[in-house]
Amino acid sequence: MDSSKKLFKEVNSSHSGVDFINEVHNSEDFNIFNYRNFYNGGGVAIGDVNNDGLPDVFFTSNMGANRLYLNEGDFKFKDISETAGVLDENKWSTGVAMVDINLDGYLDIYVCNAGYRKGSKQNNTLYINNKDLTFTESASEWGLDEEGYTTHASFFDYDKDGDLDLYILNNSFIPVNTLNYSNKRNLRAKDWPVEEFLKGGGDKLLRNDGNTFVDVSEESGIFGSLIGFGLGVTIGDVNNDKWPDIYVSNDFFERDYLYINDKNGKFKEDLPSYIDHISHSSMGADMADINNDGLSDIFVTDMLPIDPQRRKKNASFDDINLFKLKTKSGFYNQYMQNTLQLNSVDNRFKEISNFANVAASDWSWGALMFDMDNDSNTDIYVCNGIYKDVVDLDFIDFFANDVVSKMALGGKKEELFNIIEKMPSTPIVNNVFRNNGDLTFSESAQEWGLDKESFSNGAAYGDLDNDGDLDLVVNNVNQQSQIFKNNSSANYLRVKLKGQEKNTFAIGAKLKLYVEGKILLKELVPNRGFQSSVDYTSIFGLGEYEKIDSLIVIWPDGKETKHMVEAVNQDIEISQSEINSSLFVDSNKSTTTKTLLEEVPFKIEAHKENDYVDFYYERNIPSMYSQEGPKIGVADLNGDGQSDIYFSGAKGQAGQFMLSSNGQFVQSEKDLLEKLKDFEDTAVAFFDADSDGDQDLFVGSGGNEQLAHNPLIADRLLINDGKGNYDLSKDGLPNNRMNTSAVLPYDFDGDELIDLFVGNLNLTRTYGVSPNCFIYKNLGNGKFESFELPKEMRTVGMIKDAAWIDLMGDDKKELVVVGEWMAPSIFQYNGEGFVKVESSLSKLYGFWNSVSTADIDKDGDQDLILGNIGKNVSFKAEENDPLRIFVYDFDQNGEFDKIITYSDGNKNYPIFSKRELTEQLPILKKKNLMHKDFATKGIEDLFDKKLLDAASRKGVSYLPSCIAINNGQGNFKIKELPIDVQLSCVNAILPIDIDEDGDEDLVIGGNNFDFLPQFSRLDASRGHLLINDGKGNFEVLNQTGLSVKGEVQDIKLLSINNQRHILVGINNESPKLFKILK
Amino acid sequence: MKQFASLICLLVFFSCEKPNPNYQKDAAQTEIIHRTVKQLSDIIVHDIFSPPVASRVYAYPIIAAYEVMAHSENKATSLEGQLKGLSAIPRPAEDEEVCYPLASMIAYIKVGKALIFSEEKMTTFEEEILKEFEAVNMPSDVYKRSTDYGNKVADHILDWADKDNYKETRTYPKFSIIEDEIYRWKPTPPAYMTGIEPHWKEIRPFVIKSADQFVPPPPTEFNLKENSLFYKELMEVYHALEADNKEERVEIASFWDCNPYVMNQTGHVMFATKKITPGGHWQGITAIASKKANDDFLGTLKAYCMVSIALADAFISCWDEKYRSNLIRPETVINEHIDENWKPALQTPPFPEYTSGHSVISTAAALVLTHLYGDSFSFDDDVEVEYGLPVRSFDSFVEASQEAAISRLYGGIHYRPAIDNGVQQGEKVGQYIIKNLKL
Repeated sequence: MDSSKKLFKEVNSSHSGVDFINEVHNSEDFNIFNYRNFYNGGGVAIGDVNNDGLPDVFFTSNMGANRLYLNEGDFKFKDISETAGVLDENKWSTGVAMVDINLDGYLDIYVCNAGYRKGSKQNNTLYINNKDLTFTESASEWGLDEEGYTTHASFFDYDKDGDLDLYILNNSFIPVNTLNYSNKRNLRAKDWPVEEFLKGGGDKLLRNDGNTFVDVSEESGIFGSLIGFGLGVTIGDVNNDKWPDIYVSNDFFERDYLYINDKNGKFKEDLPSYIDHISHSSMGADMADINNDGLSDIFVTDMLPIDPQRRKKNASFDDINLFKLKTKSGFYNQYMQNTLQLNSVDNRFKEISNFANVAASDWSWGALMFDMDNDSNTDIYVCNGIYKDVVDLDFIDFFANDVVSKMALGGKKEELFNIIEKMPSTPIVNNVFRNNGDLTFSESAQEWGLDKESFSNGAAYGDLDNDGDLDLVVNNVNQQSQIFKNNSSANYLRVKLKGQEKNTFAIGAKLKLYVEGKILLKELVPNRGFQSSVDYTSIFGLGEYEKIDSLIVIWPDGKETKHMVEAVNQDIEISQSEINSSLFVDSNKSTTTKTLLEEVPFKIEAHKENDYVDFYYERNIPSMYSQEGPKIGVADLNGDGQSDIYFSGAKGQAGQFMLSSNGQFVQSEKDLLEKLKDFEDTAVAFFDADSDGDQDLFVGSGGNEQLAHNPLIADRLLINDGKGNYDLSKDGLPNNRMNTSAVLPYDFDGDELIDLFVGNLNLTRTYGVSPNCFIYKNLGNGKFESFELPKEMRTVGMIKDAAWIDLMGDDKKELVVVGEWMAPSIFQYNGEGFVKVESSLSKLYGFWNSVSTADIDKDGDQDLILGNIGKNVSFKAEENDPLRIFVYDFDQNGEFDKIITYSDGNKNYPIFSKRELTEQLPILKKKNLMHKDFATKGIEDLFDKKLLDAASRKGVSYLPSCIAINNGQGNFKIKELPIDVQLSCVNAILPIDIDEDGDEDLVIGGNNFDFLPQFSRLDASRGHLLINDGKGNFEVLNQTGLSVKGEVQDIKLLSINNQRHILVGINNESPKLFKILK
Repeated sequence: MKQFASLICLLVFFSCEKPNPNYQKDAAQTEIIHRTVKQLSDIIVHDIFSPPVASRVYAYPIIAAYEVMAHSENKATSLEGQLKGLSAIPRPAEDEEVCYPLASMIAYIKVGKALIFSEEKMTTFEEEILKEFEAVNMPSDVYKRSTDYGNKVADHILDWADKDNYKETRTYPKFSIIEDEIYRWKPTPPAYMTGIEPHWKEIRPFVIKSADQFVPPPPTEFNLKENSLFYKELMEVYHALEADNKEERVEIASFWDCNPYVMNQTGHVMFATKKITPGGHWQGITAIASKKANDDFLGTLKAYCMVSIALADAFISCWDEKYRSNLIRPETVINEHIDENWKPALQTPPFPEYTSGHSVISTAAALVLTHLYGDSFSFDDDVEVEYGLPVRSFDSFVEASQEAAISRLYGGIHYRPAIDNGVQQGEKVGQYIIKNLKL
């Protein structure tokens, strides 16, 4: 495409007059080794300092002088830095904020400083606008001459007393590597037993008391520890209560903070209640609404390279030990990835970065969430790049030492800073994530003309030419700063707010523009991204919309006004002090929706997982298979017409029989179950094994821990005496010594004895190999024998679940089996044996976890609901680019090696790193000692064709959970379940007509926390309630009363006092019981 | 070195003439052995091998080289039958001359190349060495037979090496962290690497009967009560550098650091600095001693061979105990219970504490060297000079090994019993090898 027609066009510096470069040069006494943030770069502020209607631009400079460019129109700027008196050339300037601190209607400039420079202190500076293009430095007079290593600062009115308070984000002085991951979050900087000059860290909240600012950090609940390595402070209304909350993104091991405003001058830091996992080395962040639901979402950047090859050269993921050490020390669930936290109705966030395609943007700094193309959807712009690739793994392992040893040989004193010169330097293209309007984003840097390689840090947006779209200004390290003109021609609305009294620019106001059922939300908080500050004018992109419904402004004092703005493409200005009282609206009407479910107390011992880490015993597997419980069995055990329960236990924990009695549950058969507690229960089914009319119990054993010779991995059969008393059957079952995952009773041969299908996930510690599964034929007398199965059924896959279902409409049920690295497979009993039935499901190779059946479309036959791993996973798998697993003893040492690969259409590249794979196969180092060599290798390059041909292989190319509508005779129409369900895996499915309208709705549970750290975790499911419209279309119900955090492993329906209830089994937690309110 | 070079020039000058009748003698330059061992050592450092694995990489090539020479007219004792699982070494054909020094270096290089990763570094070196052998101007059929024979012995040794359980142990379970066992080893700062080689005891030993032939007494029972023995030993480590001779102690600790992979971290910047392993250091001392004693070609190989075998078995013995007692490192205990800001002078290596590897293997090596060169053999140890460390002088091998042992206490990475009992363990391994290995 002709670059002149692209959305953004870089304005040449010869035209703009903006030739600022943030030059950073290392020297012997000042470099990345003695100043950790040496390449963190500078920020940008955009704001109209002379009130001429044209936003001006300020750049901070690390080693040189800061720059103020006056906007003279037509993208021509005049450098007035010197005459304005804002140079600060002796300070290492970082963040910048433009704010009218002295309430004269003119923007003042607050500059944050960090980084020790000889002969200069790093106190922050405040430039008071003299209204004549000159400024007077007055920080100390205002009590704002903070001397910490300040990254950024944000002005806002946290206590709603009308004036602007200040959050100061400081980056600790302490060398990170001396901290050993010790959790001293509650130790304030002043109390650290370290030298005075190291105490300058610790974030601060300063309260505006008129003419001066008072440090109220401690009393208002702000952490002030030196483990806080803050790189971003983002302010907005996270829980939609009209009070400003604070998100602080912390670099290194300290977790991020989410301060919820308690509305009484205090904050409650409560991130874990709101967010399930976060970025590890959190850098810049931003907050804005990506799905136009009126709630602010949060985006935080990290350092994960996008290109898988670069990832193999640069990324060191935590190993499982370090990850566990950190989570145990209270650093929460942190992963090397960007995080996109989607704000949900219950104020709980769902992290969807993998689903959204925004999880990786390399070493990132600024993140700006704004509507770049004015199509009404919020896009994301990420500044990235580091001037020196300080995490290059070959540099770590080889090149650095080569430099050091050469110096030692030459007899020279080791000069560390010489090493820096040898570090690779790789400029990269900033990421432009275009919002597709469906929670997914597409990389559009090239398409939009923003694809120049750079080392970018801070950036800011503002409508520099007042044409109704947002132009972009970027600050780069050792490279000219950039101004991009936005050429959007889409419709828009520009809104300028004028505040009152002590908040003249109305910081903290929320603007909600209603357009065709959408709510476009802006929060007027100029400090955003990394070290930067955006213009105060709010611009709503309106795309093709021609008519606006209304604009609601929630002013900083909480009052709301409604403005009937209809026409697009106009500028409006609203002054708080001049508002006609008729415009005020009251939105505080409480809206409580009646939910369909209500959680009710249920007394039972919580499921307690034993401490076992599969990764110690089996290398290069992606996740653990030892935590598959609890499973729940429901049946009337004692013939009293009530639902009783078997709740399974993990290894070391006895299962629990719970007998229902007048709505209460009483535990029974404790002694028997106590004897069996060293088994790990992984599959449960009640059925009449001995044809005596009562409910016997099959309990499958697993855990991926006991080897096959260990009797503790054998399945068990418990025989009911008719009154709910059980005895362990000694020889009823054939010997199955695998990780049992499914048991499904059914009289397949019509002899009126109930037979069993028993599915296995794996042979202990043998991932990737299909174990045998079994049909146990009931011989009567409670005895079973294995029924011979054809090979294609016996070793159909790593089974996770199965279902008996009449697919052919002949009143005989077929068996549907699902599992990992396999397609759902159907087997039919033809009177002699089982045969495979081909269907349209046969090509859907997935990580299937669950299957259930129901007549979804009410056409009289049974359909399938299939739970897969979902689309919010850290890897991609498509039909042409599948994941594959190769299993073979590649090094002939008697053990299977499992190599999982991803494909780019040509080659199959290992998903594990060189370090991980060569630990198991050191021989690979012969040709791949360097990470950069390994990074380019497909498995085809690593092994001879002969070996690869001998390897067994499986693939995965389909990730979504779906329904399969039966068209009769085993033909299915596949429909993906709604997006909300795809944000996590689906482990349990309960079809039930929950609203009693005559069709089958679905209750769905999921999540999986058992991956290795590099694969993050699946935690975006809270349990789903999907309501059927009667034709097989499902709507996600939001306020359901069903809110389950954790890994749901089973969902069962039961009746208590003749009322329907749902029991949800959660790994390593108490189950939750919900009453159905219909 | 210089002499040898001028000799080569002289030989090159005559090389187009007739073959050199003294080629056996002229080829038997001990200096070539030292350079070859050093080359292997350098590659080991570059390629990053942990200390126990490095000891394996040193052992097999020198055994191959020695075995070749053992079949020369000198009739030294072959190791076949003496080393576990080593079957009869192929003999050269009768009545056919072989240049044994050449064959032995061919065997060394081939076995070495198989065990390291950066083969090209060994290949370049090999080409250099072969030029020197060519310059000796031996008959071309002898040259060919020698390389053939060297390769044949190398293959035999590699077949044998392949069965020592090394590749099998690559897939054995990793060390498991069990949180509620408070005495149990945990990964240590700054890199928190997982415990290396938890199954090294399952590697086939060379001479000792089994990995657990010399089990040391158990370590002092973990106890944090102030009057307990463990606490006293812990505090000895904590206060080790508060002595009057602090500087000397730091020097000693640094000199014997021998850590092949020290992780340097500042902020997001990380890089490793690499040194020879403890075993590598003793290869260096062997070179110093052998040169000083003017060993001949066979004698030099014999010294390296015996020392390398002692080192390898000492590592197996030591690692057997390390993952039996699984004892926590002083740094972890001190940081958790005494002083969270304390850092040892040396970076704690990534495996359990008891016994001290340097103590066990240095003692075993020193005993073998004493057996070969006597107990009052003084020498200047300049092995670490290329890593920026000074020369240290010792009056005997045992004196050096004792300093290596105690250096671990000064370095803050071992309690005293790991050193004292480690020295005893090393003595037992060393003595057993001296008694049972005939070269």
